[in-house]
Amino acid sequence: MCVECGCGSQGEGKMGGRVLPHHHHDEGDHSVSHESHGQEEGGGSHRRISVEQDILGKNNRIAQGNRDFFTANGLLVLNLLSSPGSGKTTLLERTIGALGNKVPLAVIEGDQETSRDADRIRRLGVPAVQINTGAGCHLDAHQVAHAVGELALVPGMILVIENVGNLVCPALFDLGETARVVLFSVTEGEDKPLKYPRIFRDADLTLLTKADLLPHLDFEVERAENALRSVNPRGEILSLSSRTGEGMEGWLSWLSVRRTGVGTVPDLPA
Amino acid sequence: MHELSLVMSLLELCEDEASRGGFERIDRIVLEVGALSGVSVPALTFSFESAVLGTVSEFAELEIREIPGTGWCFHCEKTVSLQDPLRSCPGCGGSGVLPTGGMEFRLCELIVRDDRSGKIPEKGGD
Repeated sequence: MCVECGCGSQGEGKMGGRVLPHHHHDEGDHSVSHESHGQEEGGGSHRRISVEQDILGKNNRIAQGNRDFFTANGLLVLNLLSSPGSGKTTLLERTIGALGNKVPLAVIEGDQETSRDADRIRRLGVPAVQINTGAGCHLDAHQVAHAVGELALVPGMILVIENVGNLVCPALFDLGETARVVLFSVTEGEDKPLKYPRIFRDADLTLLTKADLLPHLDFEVERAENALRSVNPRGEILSLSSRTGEGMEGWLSWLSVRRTGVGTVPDLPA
Repeated sequence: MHELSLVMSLLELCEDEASRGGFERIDRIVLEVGALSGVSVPALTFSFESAVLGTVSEFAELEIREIPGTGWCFHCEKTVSLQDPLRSCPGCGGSGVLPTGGMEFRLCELIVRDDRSGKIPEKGGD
């Protein structure tokens, strides 16, 4: 049972038959409130309470719990972000096809409505949980903690969290992921990173998608890369086409390196 | 409009403080919002007004202390002012600026009262 929302969740993630603690309960570093008292003209007893807390602190605490869980169990967890329609689900489908049975994969899908994306992933034989955010515009760490409890995870697995298609709000919410991957399709205009800097700033990897369309567009890759570099000098950039498979090897190799870096898991087979 | 969920988190913190501190009404909520925090103050205020009804914060005034953005310019080797996270240095125009301040989004303090009496009439009272 999740004490936070009383939703009836078992509150535990399963991993290789072991039961792991559910990490999202409100615990830890609540600051001690300092108070001072006074009387004001309006009547009643007034107090000043010093709280000094991050408003996103609760989300961040849950995210850290998720991260500890992921790290302890050798999971590579990616937060996949982009505007709607830049090809997140198609990239996942192609990635699943390329990895075959060699690497265990699971997916958490975030959308306002419908289970269409999770259905697409499940059709390929990969476990997927759909989160519908309703009026919400992003996934938060609490939703992810619950979704993780519904998946049968195994050590060495890649867990991809496909966030709600939105370049603004998801940027603020840490989910506990190992890395952030932002998709930037070449149909979007080279200046996207300048217009939505926050999301591109924190990307560990930016994927320029739909690269097969470049011959038909005025999109200049160098301008896009310069725009990306100006908001995020450290992140890596790769370009690919899920449709033709061009550039997929770079992405798969990035996955392999990141997965190896997570813990004691074997390299992806060649 | 992620500000609505930020406001919900804020109101939850206030409710937690109320049950911890045993007060019934908040008169003022003091926040720090950094210029580089990604939080829009007008959207935050709007969401707050929509979401407070029926909570311990219902009659609270929202005081927002806006914190200017700052960054360290690697070229000029000094702290510079940053209006947005685009990171261009106002001095040299270069983009090698690491944001160092203005990312805050914090609840600083609450002015509370232990009873519901005071200047603002009870809901439903004439």
